[in-house]
Amino acid sequence: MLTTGSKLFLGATVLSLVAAIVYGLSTSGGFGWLGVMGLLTAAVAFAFMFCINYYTHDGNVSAMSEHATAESPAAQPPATRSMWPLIAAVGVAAIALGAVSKPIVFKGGVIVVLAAGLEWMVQGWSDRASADPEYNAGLRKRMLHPVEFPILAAVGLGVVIYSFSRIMLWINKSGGPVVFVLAGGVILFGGFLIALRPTIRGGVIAGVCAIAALGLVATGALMAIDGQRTIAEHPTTQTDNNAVCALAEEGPGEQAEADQKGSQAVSSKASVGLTVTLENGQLDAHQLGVQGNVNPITVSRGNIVNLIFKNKDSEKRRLTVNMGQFTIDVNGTTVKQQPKECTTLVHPDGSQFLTFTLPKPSIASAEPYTLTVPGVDGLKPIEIKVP
Amino acid sequence: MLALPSAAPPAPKRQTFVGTALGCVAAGSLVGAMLALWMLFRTEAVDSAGQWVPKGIKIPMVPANTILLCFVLILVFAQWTVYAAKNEARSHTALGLALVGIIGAAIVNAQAYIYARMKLPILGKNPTAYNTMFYAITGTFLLLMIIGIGFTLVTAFRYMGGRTSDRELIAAHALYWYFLSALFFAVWFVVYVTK
Repeated sequence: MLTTGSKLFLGATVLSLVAAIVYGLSTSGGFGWLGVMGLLTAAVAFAFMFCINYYTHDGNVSAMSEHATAESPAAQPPATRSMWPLIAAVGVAAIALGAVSKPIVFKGGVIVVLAAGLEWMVQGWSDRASADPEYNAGLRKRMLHPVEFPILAAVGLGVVIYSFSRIMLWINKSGGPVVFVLAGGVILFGGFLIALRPTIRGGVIAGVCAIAALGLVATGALMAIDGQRTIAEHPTTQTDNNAVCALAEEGPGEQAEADQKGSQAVSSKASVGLTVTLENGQLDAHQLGVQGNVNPITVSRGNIVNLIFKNKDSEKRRLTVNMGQFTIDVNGTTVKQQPKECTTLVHPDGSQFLTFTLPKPSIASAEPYTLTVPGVDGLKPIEIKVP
Repeated sequence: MLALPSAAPPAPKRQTFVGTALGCVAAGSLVGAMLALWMLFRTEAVDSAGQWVPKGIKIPMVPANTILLCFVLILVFAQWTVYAAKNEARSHTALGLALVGIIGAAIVNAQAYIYARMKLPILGKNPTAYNTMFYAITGTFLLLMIIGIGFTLVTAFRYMGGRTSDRELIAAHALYWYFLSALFFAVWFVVYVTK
């Protein structure tokens, strides 16, 4: 027996189907297709609804059903309040925004949707665990608190650390330690006050902590927007296109700091393939696996070369790797390039570790690859062959 | 004395099932309208320029056909979960749901592979309706697939969490995958086969 709703959907299905046939026969071209496809889609949708409506008997409850009063939607208790649909909607909005703006917003949106979906799912499940809402809420807590609290703690800690880092990067170098001491002092004093008054209410402590956290996050956000202070790049031997590598003495200006504070000892390393020693005004190279000193040495193209330079001279010296000479075209002008790598100044009896890579074979360079020490007269450089 | 609370009242009858059906109709109407527009733009492009698919774009049919075959498997496994749940075979129901979810994920992967292989620019130098419509239709379908996988996860969680009597959810889950299968058949025929 067809119900009233089913009859209506059946009629709509037949009507859509007839309309699709008539429209298809009377209209040609692109708009013919548009109309036919649209009407056929409507026919399929109506047919589907007819089937569902017929199956559910228009949603009518039989008077003979013994569970009718309990199973009807009207008999159900209202769903408990939940913030997860709202949070999931925010996540979906973030996904849409992130798709056209920044990937981090998109990824954040995905995480929010997944987290909200999980919470929503568990809450929906626990709501129907029993007839007692309190028991159901307890069940949800028992399931999710072991996951929620560590994650919330980690996120909270991350926010505090990030906010504090923005503050420390905003204030000047000398003011940093003062702020650190003051912040530590305030926290210590606050702890002292709380310990002094054991009867103080938990709500007051929570309120003070919340205000402090809010202040920290707000200050951090403001300082993050304003931007960090300018931090000058620490000079190294590679500053100014390795210019210091040609000097026998300390680098000029701030670059001297790199030479003055360079490490003078090398700890045990397993990856060293070459040891170069400066002694009696000459360089000796000992290659791993080869007996005695060698000149020239051979290294593989593109491989990382790790060497230790030992200074047995009475002066401070640096080891320089002359990495050939190449000509390149810069906006129509031919420019010569002589790349170099070097250690900082090594004190007498000191040693230093140096890493470099030779990406091209020796034959590609106008000058040979060599290891040399600037400022040592009569020194015979060690040639590096790259097959 | 500690006593367990009384059981929850029975779930409202056919609410999930009818809700899922309405969602399917809404999504089906959306994709159907998009396919109608596809046919309109296609006919206009063929009439004016003589071609619809941009030059140099090849549609990989192997993954597209594989997706279609995957839906045959999904139909079997989705119906198996309904049968197993009805016969209170909990492990079989769980296995069926897991297989539906895994095959669903495989379909998403295959769709991503199609995108990677086609290298079809969304706009490009000379944007055509083909580019926009291809991503609009297949992207909508991809979204429906992701919703389907989510549906499977929720169903599995609820069923494995003790709601073994809630067979209506299992039936609604199967209905959604039936709908997706039918929808993909239409997308496959219009977008991938007739091009």
